[in-house]
Amino acid sequence: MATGLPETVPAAAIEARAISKAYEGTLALDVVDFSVAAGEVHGLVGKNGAGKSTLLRILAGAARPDSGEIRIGDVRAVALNPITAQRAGVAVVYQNAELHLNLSVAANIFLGSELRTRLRLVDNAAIEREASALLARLGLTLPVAATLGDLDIAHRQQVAIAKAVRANARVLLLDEPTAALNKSQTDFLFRLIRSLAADGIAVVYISHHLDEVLAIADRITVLRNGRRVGVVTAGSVSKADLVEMIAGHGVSEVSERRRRSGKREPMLSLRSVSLPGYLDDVSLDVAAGEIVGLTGLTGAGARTLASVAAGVTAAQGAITLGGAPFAPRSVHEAIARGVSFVAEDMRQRGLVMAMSAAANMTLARLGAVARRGVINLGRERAEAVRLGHFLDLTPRDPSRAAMTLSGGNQRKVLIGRAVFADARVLVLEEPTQGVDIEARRQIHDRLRQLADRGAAIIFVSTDLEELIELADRIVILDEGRVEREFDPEGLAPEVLLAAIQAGGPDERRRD
Amino acid sequence: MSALKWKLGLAVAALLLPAVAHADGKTIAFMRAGPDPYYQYGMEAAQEAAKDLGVTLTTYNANNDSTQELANIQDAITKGAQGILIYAVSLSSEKAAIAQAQKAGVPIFFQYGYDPSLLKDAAGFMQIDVGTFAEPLGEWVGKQVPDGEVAIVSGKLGRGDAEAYSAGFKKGLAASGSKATIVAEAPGDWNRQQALDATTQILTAHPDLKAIYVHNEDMAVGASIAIERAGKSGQVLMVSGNGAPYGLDLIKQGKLALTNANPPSIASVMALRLLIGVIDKQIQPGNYYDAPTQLIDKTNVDTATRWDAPPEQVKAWLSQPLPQPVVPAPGG
Amino acid sequence: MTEATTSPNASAGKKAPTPRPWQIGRYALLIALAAVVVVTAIGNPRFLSTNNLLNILFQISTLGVVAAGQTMLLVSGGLDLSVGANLSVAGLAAALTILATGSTSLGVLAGLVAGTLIGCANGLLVASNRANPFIITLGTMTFLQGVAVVISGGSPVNGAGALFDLFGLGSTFGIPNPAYVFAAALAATWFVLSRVMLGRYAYAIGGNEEATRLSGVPVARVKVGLYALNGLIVGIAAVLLTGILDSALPNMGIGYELRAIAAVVIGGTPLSGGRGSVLGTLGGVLLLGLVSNSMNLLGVGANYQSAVLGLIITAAVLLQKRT
Repeated sequence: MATGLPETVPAAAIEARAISKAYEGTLALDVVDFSVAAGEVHGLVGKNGAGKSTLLRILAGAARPDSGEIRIGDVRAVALNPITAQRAGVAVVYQNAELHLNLSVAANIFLGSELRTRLRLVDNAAIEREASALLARLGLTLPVAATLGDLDIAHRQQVAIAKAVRANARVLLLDEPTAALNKSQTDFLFRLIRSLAADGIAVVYISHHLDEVLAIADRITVLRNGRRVGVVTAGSVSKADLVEMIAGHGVSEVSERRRRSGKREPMLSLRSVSLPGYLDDVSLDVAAGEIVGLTGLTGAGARTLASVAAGVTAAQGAITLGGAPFAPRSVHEAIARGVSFVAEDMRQRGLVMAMSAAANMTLARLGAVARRGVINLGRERAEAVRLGHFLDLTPRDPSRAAMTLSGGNQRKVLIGRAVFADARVLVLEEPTQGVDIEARRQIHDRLRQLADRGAAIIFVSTDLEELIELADRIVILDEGRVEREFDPEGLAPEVLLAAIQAGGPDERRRD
Repeated sequence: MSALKWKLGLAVAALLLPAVAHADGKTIAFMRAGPDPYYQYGMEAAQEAAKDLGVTLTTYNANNDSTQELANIQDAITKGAQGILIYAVSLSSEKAAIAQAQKAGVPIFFQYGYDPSLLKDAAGFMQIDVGTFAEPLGEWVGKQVPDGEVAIVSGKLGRGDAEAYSAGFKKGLAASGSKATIVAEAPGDWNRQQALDATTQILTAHPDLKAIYVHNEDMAVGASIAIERAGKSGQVLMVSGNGAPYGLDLIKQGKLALTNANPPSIASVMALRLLIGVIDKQIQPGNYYDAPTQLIDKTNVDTATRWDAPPEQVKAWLSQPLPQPVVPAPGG
Repeated sequence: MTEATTSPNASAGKKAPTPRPWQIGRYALLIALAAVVVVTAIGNPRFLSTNNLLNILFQISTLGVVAAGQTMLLVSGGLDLSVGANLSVAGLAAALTILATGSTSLGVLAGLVAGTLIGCANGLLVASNRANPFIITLGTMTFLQGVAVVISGGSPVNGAGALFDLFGLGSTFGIPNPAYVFAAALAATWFVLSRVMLGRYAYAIGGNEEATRLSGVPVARVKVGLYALNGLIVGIAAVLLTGILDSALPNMGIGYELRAIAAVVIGGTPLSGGRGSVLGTLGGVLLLGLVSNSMNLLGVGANYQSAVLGLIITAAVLLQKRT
């Protein structure tokens, strides 16, 4: 919903003027202007690599621009660092919010600005009281004494926002805030953002989800290749317009038509699989060439089921792979039998960031490019280049360290690892989370291609469009059981959403 | 229930029996500062002597740790030692050791580590006079080298002995009337690896070196390798101190010209006898004794007092006259 | 209304200059080495004599071998504090065997086997235990120090026979033989780290152990392999040192563990692992060797040598951190 802002915008709450920044020889930002007014919700969109993260970090004081200036509340900020930025009223909530999971909600909110008793000791009672009051004012219901690690991502994010408010932030920077949220949590977040904006806080909202950005923002800045290509009011553009500004050309949203698989012999078959507290008598068949999308509310069991199917988590029940029993005693065995698992969390469970893309890709089956234990580096590079072509890896040079790649390309590397390991069954968690439009389409296309070549693919996703675009079958889980199945052909996202939401109340069960 | 009582009774009796059996034999605690062979040989000689003297010797190793040493002393006292014979870890730890022993009324005798202020509280001190120990070595070198370059490879500084050795050597060298100059003093830290490297460096910096004084023979082994590698085996005269078995070997091989030996074997045996005398109230406590030393070169290497003394030799020492107290005691 | 504005400077492809601090950190080690060489050469020109340079090579060889092995462990995110004690035990095993059998080859074999077995034991403990390798190998170090004293009776074991002629006195083409062993150890470790699967897995485990495990790599087995290989390298160093000293002593390895780790870290391999190379370790070993040699040649008092060495190590590490 766009508010009608006057054409001439008053003094900005935060402003970047002519910002340029280069990393290792390439320009990440090229003389970019950016300004947000007090009380405005301003969306920042663009492909991965367009410069959004860099601009965010500069605004937050976490990076120094090579040239240009930052003004906060019309005062020129000199030598901005995260601490001075915070003092100037800028608060950031990153995708992986840096919170202390072993402390309580109240402690986190007051971290660094603890209330003290006369004796200079930390006054926990006062902190809890104030935290409760603050949360109530924001319309959040969280137990202040709860340990942050016990709460889910949505609630942790709320704590991060509460912390920002407590610190009297006048500018709130949100980086992909809905990445790990479901629809109802997203709605709640939007209400919270609007109430913060009504209080005069300037909110910068960075996201790939254009629908969301159009829904929440007043104005939207579009970056492309490090330059600002435009600032628009949300009510005056369509999603297609934005897509065109972002990509520089029209991009078809719908990926290529998928082959419908007829009734085929299942490659992977789960029968009466149970895991107390997570799964209850689940049966699932996936045929070669088929892509199955698993989904459900948080805690419904979709992730656990995927993990069990990949052989990563052990459960009761029978699993057969190609007709033979599948109960691997190690990840090594699972991979050797052709089952690969691509976790969502690339940093912790996916990539070795310091190693090259090539080395990451060959890691699961290094023996294939080695003879008698000695690696044939030439062959490894050739294989990596081949995979890079297949996956549309940018940049193509596979000797670049994984940490220099964008999120989408990192995900491609992980998929490449599974492909190199000759995966016949590929299980993925949130395959395009945090990934830009183009990479997302490429990943979907490649997965489809792999299925066409005979692989069975299972993916877990909470992205409605992705489920509809990519899957041959959508399986909804609720409270550990298979609830419904959908044929995505012609399915409307709202219908799917309603079916997912129709599940039981949001239980505190880990997925 | 009575079966259990029987077993308990037997167990108690078994524990008490040895104590009862040894009621008339004394228990002496022998403490060494660390695993260094020097202390080891002293301990072995003392053990041999203890057998003949009808005394039980319990042994402790402080592993060069003062805290461990104090713990050992407490332990020995608790276990009923009637006397303590100790090679202390450092001068500073001796004060604490004496305090502990005094509190329990247990006589404590020190080998190697003289502190004049502690003399009156101890059963006795026996050691070489570190101040004069290296003088004969300096004099001998001065006579062999009337003019030229001489170097010193010293032990680890900070304990007082290495400094005293170097000073004594220089005094002896000057007293001999030689015009030789000391051109280098490098730390070997008592170990042969470091001495090897240090001597190599010294020889590089002073290729015309005529003589070298290495504080102990472990280092002398390293130094001799360096001299051999540099091809200067005949050119550089080496002197040292200790009289250890490997040092005597070096003398036999012609690599070490002269050494001033302070065999721990005979010293420990004498010290043990003195301590027992103090416990039996036959000898006055609080006296200082000179530890036996001997200059050894090729001519007397075969008859020299050895660190690894055979039992017959130890027995012989038991009937030799005891060392006399040095009066007045040295200033330290 | 859509306001579409484009930035005035169309500067596609304009490259920004490489920032300077990055450069300094990378060359810090070279700068330090150069500084030491220059200062010492001015203070004592004999420093640059062939004789002295060869001596330096001779003196750093043993440490270099140990540091080469330690590089592999640090790259994998592990470390072995017991290498010094291992060195002593393996050296004693070699010397005692020579003493007992009169055979140099058997002695060498004994040293290598002892080193490898100890390394293997360390590896099994580290791989099967979630405790930090620092603590685990600290424990094995203490144990091995005791073992060394026991098997030697606390005294040196003298006589290494042919080994002394080979390593203590021997040289080939004018270069002391220990230097060749050092070079071989460096080359072997470089090969393992850059070309062998075990080495690749070391980098992977050091970079992200969980991700490596999830890629099906048998992490525990790799760790045991790395520690065992390191043990073999320590065994080689032990045989080398026993030859140089013509004897083995229960305390001959003391200090090697810390100096080896210092050399590796100075060379650019972080304690956290995931990165690093033997080339850097070579630089680190050179720096430590040069400084010791330099201080003796310049006549720096014994009291000051430890302090100076410590300062240089700290400075080198801090400068490295700026990369």
